[in-house]
Amino acid sequence: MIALTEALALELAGDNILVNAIAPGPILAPPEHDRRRVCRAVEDGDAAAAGGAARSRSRKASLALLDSDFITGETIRVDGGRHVK
Amino acid sequence: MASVYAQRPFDDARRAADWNGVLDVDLRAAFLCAHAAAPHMRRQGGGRIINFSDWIGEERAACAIAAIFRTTSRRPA
Repeated sequence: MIALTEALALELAGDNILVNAIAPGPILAPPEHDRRRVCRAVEDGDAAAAGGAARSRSRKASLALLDSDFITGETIRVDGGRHVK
Repeated sequence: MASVYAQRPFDDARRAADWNGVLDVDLRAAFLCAHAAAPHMRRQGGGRIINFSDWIGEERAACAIAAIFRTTSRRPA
């Protein structure tokens, strides 16, 4: 996905199309959710219930990218720093 | 936004069968969306594309495909 994002960014740069990526990492379920509730949320495809704030954090990163006119070919990992461990 | 991920040992015969499905959903879908959107963005003078990938899929799909896309995207116009 990183390579595809970089390749499309290069290819579409001349058309003023900026191409970036968001890579959400694994996140913990909200503490008030028991295991059964989390499993059910995963089966239902309810990411917000399964993973707490993951969706809103990815949305914030998306808004930052939409707001920029000078970032392209970039991948933002929304994982609380797990990728550098 | 979609992603598939089947956790199996490398030697598992199903890994080969999984491969196309993983790339179709995790990578080809992103390409097809960009491919469909680009002409409209071009007409309106620009646009923003944001791809989504969980980073398990990203590690798996990106490594294999990197060389292909880098080669095709950097050829002289």
